[in-house]
Amino acid sequence: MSGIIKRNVDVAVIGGGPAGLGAAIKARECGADKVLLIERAEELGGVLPQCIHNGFGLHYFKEELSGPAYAYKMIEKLNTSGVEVMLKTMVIDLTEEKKITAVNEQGIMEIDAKAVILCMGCRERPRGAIRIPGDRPAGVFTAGAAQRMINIEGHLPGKKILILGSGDIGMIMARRMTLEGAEVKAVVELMPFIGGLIRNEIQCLRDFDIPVYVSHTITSIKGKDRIESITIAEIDSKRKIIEGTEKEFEVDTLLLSVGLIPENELSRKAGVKLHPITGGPLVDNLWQTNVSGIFAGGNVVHVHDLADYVTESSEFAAENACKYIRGGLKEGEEIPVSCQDNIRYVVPNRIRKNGEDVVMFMRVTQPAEKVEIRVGDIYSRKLDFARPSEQIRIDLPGELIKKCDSGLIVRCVPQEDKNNGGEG
Amino acid sequence: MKKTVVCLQCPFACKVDVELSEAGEILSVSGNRCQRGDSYARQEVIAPVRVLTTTVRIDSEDREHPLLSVMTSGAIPKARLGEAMRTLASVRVKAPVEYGEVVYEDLLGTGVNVIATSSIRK
Amino acid sequence: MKTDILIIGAGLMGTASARELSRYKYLDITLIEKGSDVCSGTSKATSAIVHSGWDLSPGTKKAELGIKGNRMYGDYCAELEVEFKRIGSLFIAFNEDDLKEVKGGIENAKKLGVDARLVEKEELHQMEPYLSEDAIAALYAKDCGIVSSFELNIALLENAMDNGVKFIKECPALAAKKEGDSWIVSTPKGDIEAKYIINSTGVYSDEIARLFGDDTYTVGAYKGEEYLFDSSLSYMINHVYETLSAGVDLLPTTHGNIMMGTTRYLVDKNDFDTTREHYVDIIKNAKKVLPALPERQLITSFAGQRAINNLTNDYLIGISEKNPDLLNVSVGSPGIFAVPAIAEEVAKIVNENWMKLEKRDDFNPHREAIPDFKALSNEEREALIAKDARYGRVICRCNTITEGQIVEAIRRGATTLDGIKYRVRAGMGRCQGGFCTPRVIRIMERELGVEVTELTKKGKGSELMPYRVKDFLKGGGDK
Repeated sequence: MSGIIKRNVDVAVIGGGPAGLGAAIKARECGADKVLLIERAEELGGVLPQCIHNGFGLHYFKEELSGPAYAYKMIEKLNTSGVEVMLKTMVIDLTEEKKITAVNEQGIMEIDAKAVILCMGCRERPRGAIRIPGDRPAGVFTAGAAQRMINIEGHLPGKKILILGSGDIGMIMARRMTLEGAEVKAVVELMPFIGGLIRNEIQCLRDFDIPVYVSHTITSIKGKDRIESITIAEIDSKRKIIEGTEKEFEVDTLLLSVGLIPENELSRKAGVKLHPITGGPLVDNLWQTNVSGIFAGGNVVHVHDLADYVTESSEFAAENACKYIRGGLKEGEEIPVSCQDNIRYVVPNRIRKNGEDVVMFMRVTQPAEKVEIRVGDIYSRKLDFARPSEQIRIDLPGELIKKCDSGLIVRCVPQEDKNNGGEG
Repeated sequence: MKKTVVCLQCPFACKVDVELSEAGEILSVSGNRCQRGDSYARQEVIAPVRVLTTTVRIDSEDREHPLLSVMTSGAIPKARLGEAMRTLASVRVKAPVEYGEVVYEDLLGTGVNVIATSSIRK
Repeated sequence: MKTDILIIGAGLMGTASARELSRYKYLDITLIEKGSDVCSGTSKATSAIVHSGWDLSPGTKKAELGIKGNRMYGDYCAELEVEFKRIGSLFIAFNEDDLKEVKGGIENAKKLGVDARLVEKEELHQMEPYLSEDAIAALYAKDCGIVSSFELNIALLENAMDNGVKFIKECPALAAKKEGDSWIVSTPKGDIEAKYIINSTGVYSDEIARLFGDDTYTVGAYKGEEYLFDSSLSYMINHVYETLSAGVDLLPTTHGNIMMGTTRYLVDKNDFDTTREHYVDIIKNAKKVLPALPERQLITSFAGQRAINNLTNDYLIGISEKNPDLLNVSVGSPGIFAVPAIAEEVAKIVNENWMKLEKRDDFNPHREAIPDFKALSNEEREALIAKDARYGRVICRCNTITEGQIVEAIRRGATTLDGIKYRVRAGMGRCQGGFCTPRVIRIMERELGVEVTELTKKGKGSELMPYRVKDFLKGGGDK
């Protein structure tokens, strides 16, 4: 028997999407010698190659790009960075000691890394998770799977479509299918508001007169072999179905766009603790998990609005991973961060009192206008509006953090009228 | 007459108010954060345009890539998106194609080209 | 086409009977199935509990064959390389009335010769640390086990075919007439001439019996809804839970998921819907039993049907009163635990009524499972990949299923997406195929040599990707 290949690297990056690409390049830029990027698919880019729409790159590349273009530019950078790439390689185990077990067509590999950056991204929530009643006919796809079939493989799942969930992927697929000549009969949303970005609501739904039903849910799916029709109904504020509001649509396909879940099976194996709301690792402001030397960046931590932000956060994780392997990571005293009052979650979950500036990301639970985001009593910022679909970023100077003694609570409260000036 | 337009130029999605005269002349634009928002709103109330992203068929050696992702080099009239899709449906290109290469010229006589947004090299 | 014994219905009963009869000499056996694969009906959607039988009425066929079957399970599954875990069951009492039932159950078990004992509160909570504090005691039956019904069904078919059984799918029996000594059964795949018929068609058993002149019974369908939780919760439950007042069953599956069920109510035979109302009830009840059960970890749901015979609550297994060439196997719930014993019973009936059976010398009872990459050691994985590099390509990331396994499933007869799912569990994990479906479709296209537009989820009419991009824009296909 050939035996298991064993090797050592400085930084191992798991996942080659917008997070992993950014982290690997950055790790090299920060001086890490041996950087290994492990990707399970046959090509780099993660979900980017199938996201043929534009809206990428405005922050990171300062130009508007499509998903494949964003991937192309990142990969061009990577090709000259000295990062070693392993494609078609799946990490099947990760330990607290940062030992990675990976498999590919050559066999099994065991890789000891000085630092690991988790960049596995997220996956789509399936049907079971949202409990759609009915039989199990063909024609139910997650929006992302359909996106891959349509944009990469060239197949179309159906002619008449209903989309459940008004997340960005759902709306983008509504436009995509309409452009391809299919008929999108409705986009159905459980919440009383649209889940994705406003720009997608306009250019993906309104542009094509696709009806949206908010505060609605699917009550039944008919069809034994393939979907024949779907009935929806309005729900009240307690999510109870309002009798008599049922509408039946003759469709052959249901696309699900009901949310994304960070992909953390590996993280769990390594003893990384996860956040109950985000589903991602609990991280400090260095994007380090509770396991020393295991960092995380991008959607594996929490689902970001834009690929640009994903890359940015993983770069930050990579910078700190490099400091870590050189022994230069300033960890300092820890202050826990929590949230309340319409803040659904905040990342990081603890802050190191080390004098460095801190970036915080958060989301609200309910849409609200004229609000104030308060971080403990050290910082506040006014916003004209806060929407669940848009992450809020707060930059806290290290000087302010020094003043904190105990935990920080992040809140979103109505603005007090007397104060002026909103940043929006 | 006032029309409100949501700017699609960047993720901020500003709500821009455009004041129009009876004759349809633009009197004022407000609510935008930047100059791009101003021009976008002026265009949007008169003749909305969109950049089209889609795919075209490509003949390549590996069966992994039957499609090439493409994008228009500029915006085309929103009303003509369907027509543009029908035109591009019968376009078939041959690999290799490089990122940024023009794969179809002067779409619907708009002067806008269709360019590859990825490379398929064999 | 001619055969000695035609078995109609390739669920567990039909397939196990076919495999059992393939032990004997000079027998030509044909198994037909109206679905696109084995295990398309009742057998597909069960909780797959191999009951100990403690609660059955002494003297019934169900008790006799079920308890016997349970004892056979270990060897049976070992031969077929199907996972079977004898984890034991707990019939849990939450109040005094339940406790009476528990005590009565222990008495009943004694009469049946089934091992059952009372477990007091303290021991119960040691056995099940996540069980609700409200549970006061339980009946513990250590012989209860769990199996995967479709894995068993598929293994039985593979082994039956290895031993010469012919299998034809998408082949419903549409009509039958007697000609001379034989029955001519018409199917969409042509007429089949058979001397004897075994009817193992679950909820459709009455309709098939009628084709052969037997109108002595009717069969209704009870529907059970089952809900499956992610395998990351496997630590929460160690035994099969049965309850009375709590109104819910909870159990671990052989793959480490938690299964929650089951409501039972009479339905139309075509009704496989899971419903909102029942879900609300079941989850509420389940939380009374396992308070920490997180709803958000629910990954899928399905509904299955159990046959209910109008003549008896017991099994109806025997030669038809109206047609001596027809053997009806009408088995209600619970049925799985009795499978090995029912197969033997069928052979016994054949021997006594139709023909003298004589054992073959060359019967091979062993079936080799498709390698389960996830369950192997790294050294075993390494060896497998060295032999076939496709075992080094992970396709389904939730269950770590490799291309090698998927190709092997297709080689063994899977032609649909569900067929692959049931053979190797690709797409059965927490993402429910969101990631691997496009990749599995690609492998199917290549291995089966068919157009993607013709690939189905579960047979004709369930096409997955019936069109190609640009089709609708050009007013037709561009094949």
